[in-house]
Amino acid sequence: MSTPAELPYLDYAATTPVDPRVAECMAAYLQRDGTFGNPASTHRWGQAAAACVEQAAAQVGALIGAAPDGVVWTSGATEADNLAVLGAARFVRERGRGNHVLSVRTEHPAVLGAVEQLRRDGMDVTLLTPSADGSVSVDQLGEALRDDTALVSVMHVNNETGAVQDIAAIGSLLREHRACLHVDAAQSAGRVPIRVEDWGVDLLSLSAHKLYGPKGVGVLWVRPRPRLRLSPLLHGGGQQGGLRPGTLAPHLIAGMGEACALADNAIEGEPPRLRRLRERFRKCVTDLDAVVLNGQPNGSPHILNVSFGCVNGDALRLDIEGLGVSAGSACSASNRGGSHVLRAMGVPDALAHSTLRVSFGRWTTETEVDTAAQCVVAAVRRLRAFSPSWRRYQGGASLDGMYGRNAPLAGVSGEQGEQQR
Amino acid sequence: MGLWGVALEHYHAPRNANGLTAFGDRVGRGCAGAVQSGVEVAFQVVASNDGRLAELRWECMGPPAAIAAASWLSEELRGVTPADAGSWTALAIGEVLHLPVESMSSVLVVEDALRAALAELEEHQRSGGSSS
Ligand SMILES: Cc1ncc(COP(=O)(O)O)c(C=O)c1O
Repeated sequence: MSTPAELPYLDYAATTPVDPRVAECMAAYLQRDGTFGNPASTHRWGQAAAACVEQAAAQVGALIGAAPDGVVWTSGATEADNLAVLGAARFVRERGRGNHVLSVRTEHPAVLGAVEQLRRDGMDVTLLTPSADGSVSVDQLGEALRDDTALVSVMHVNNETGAVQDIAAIGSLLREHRACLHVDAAQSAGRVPIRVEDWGVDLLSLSAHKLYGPKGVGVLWVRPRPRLRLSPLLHGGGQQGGLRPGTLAPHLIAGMGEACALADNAIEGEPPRLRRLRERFRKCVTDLDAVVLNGQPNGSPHILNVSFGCVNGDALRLDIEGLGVSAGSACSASNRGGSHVLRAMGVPDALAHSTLRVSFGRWTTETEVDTAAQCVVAAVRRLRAFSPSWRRYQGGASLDGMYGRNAPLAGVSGEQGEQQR
Repeated sequence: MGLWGVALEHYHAPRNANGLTAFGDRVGRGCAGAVQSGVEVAFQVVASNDGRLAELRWECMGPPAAIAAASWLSEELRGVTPADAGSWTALAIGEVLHLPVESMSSVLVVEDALRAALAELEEHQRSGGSSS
C-alpha cells in the first residue's frame, strides 16, 4: 500500500501544472529588462509587447485551426464563456433579431450560469437532455432549433465525463441557420483536434491552465470574417476592439501561446498515449464488477468517470484519501449537491455520489496509473466486504434494481445500454 | 471526513462485520436504510442462555460514521441486556464517538437497524418461549 504522500495527481481535468518551457517563457517577461511594455502603447516598448501578443495569438490560432485575428484574451474560460453567451445573445436580442438560446444540461456552470442570466433577462432558453452516454444528437439539436434562435452553445469535451460532442456535425447543421455556434473547448484543447473554421464554429472558449499554461488567462475566439458582433461585458479603454478592454498581460498571454504551441506539437502522439493510460485504469477497475462508466467508451482520452456500485461515496473518498482525483459530484467547487452532469445523464444520485473522475496528463506514468487504480480497487473491495447491497448484487440483484434507475446504464465494456456484470 | 480516535480506529479496522447467518429463537435480525439513499445497515443480535447479547454482527453500506458506529456497537453491546442495548440512541452514539453532526442521519439508520434486530429477537424469544 502507498502512503498518502506517495499517491499521484490524476486530476489534470481540474488543472495542469505549468510546463517548465512555459514557465521559462513567462519568466523572461517578468524581468526588469523583459518585455514589460503596454501592448497598447505606440512606442517601441509597447510595440515589442504587441508583437509578442500577436505571436501568441498565432500560436493559439494554429492549435484550433482558426485565424489569429479572432483571438480575444480573457481571464480564463469562465470569462470567455460568459462573454460568448451573454455577448452574442444580447447583441442579437437588442436588435430584435432573435430571442432564443439553445444549450445542453451538461454544460459547464460558466455557460449554464450565463444562460440562466439570459433567461432572467427575458430570453427563451432550451436546455437539451443528453443521452445516457452524455452526447446530444444533431437531430435532437435540429428539432429544438427555432427561427429566432440566436445562439447554440455546446461544449466540445465535458469536464466531468470526457463525453465528446460532434461539433463538426453541429456546425453543418447550423450552416444554413443564422444562430451562432459557441463551443467551450477548455477540456478538448490539446486532447482532441479542433478545426474551428472547417467546422463552422463562431465562438470558442479556451483556458490556459487546462493545457499546461498559467492560471488567469484564456481566449474567446470570435469569428472575424464576417465579423461576429458581441455586446461587451466590460467597458474601458477600448483594447481588443472594445470587446474586452483592459491592459493586456503579456506574460500570461505569451505563456498561453507557448502552451498552445507545445500542445499542437504533441497533438499526434499525446492523445493516443493518454488513451492507453485511460484504458489501463479502466481495465483495472472494471475487474471489480458493478462498476459503471459514465460517458462514452471512446470519449476524450484524458478523462475517465466511473461509478462504483454498492459502496457509499463518503467512505470511498476517505479510503482513497491522498489520491489526486475528483469526486464525480464535486467538480464545481461551489456545488455541494450532486453532479448536474451525471443527473442529466440519468445516473441515480446515490450512484453519482460514489463516482470518481480520474484524469491523465503530460506527466502521468503507467506506474502512477497502477498505483492509483490499486488504491481505488483496494478501497472498493474493503468497503464491499461488509456491504449488504454488494451481497445482494452477488446474489443476482442488479444495479438498476437496487439504485432505482429507469434508463439503461451504459456498460463499461463499451456496449451501450448494457450493464457490465 | 471528520472521524477521529475510537471511531476512526473502528472505521479502519471494523470488528464483527458480516456473518449474518445465525438462526433460531435466540437470533434477531434487522435492516434499515436503502441503497438509493446511500446508507443501508443490517444488524444481527444473538442472545445467550441468560438473555444477554452474546454476539452482534452487522453489515453496512454507508459513510464512515455509520461504519464506525456499527462496528463500535457490535463490541460495546456484548454482554448487555437487550433492554439496555435498545436504550442507545444515535445521539448518544454520536456523543461517545465524537461523530460529526452532519453524519447523524446515517447513524440514525444504524440505530434503526439495531432496534429492528432487538425487536425481532424479543419476538422470537416470546414465541419460542411460549411454544416450549
Ligand atoms: C469545460 C470548462 N469550461 C470552463 C472552465 C472554466 O475555466 P477557467 O478556470 O479558465 O475559468 C473549465 C474549468 O474549470 C472547464 O473545464
